[in-house]
Amino acid sequence: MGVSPAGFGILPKQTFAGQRAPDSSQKFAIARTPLPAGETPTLPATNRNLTMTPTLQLFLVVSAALFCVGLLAALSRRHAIFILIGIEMMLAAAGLNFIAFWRFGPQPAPPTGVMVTIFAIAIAAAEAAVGLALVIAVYRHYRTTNVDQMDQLKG
Amino acid sequence: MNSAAFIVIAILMLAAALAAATLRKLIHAALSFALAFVGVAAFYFLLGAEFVGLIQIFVYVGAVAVLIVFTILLTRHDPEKDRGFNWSGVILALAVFGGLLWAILKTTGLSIVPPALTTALTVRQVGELLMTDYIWPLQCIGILLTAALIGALVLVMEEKR
Repeated sequence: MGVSPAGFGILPKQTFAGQRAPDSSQKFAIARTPLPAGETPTLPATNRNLTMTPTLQLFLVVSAALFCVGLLAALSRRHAIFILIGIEMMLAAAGLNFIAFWRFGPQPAPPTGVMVTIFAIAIAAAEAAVGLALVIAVYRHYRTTNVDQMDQLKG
Repeated sequence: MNSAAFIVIAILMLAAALAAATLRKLIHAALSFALAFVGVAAFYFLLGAEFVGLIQIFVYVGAVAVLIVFTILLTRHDPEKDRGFNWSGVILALAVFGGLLWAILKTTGLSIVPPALTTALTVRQVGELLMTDYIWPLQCIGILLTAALIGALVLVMEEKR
């Protein structure tokens, strides 16, 4: 793809419009070619790909690990800010899954995973802002950020 | 997409995330949080979603990490009360990780290589989609961000005695 005069890397409009309205039967036909009978689906692919490129499985394992580190932070930390950080990590792990599934899907596909991740990042930013404001507001009452000591409902 | 970059980024990101989850010193933990999110953005770059990677760096490393550091500085923390680790959280997180790992490894058809990108995802495509198919989510996000901004301001305003 050459650089178009309108700007760097910008596609001509008709390629974009053409790929967004594919024949719906054709869209799913690319993805699921049935395996030949008697062939185990995982083993040959794993052997071939471990040396070449990371597979979807590896991305899912990494994002599951990130999710669980976030869960660990949210559950075992006493400091309110770091519980919030753990929640942000779990959201990022979900976004990583969305991007990975978009990238490993049949390729001329509308970037739905990308869009969902963009909105998730915006919502996570709003959540972080309100959460940190709550931490400061609670700190004014209790003079602590330790969640174990916030044990009263009245202000 | 090459696997050396994948391994390096994965190890860096998970180490930084683990440091953010366990370090005692709050500023160190906040900085490793920022590093972990640089790692997530690097994954987005590796997967061909450059725009999302840039947004991730702008929003998390640029804004959220700074907010977290400011909140740490504004609240006084007593490290003596933070002693002792909540081991039930560790056990639960490990159990969830085991369950997820079992489900991922059990699912057949996941060990596929990425198909070649026929057309790179450009910012123009993302912008056009945001203005056409995703216009209502975009408006809702605008309202949500406005509400969050006003709500955060109201929450931290001085209370009337």
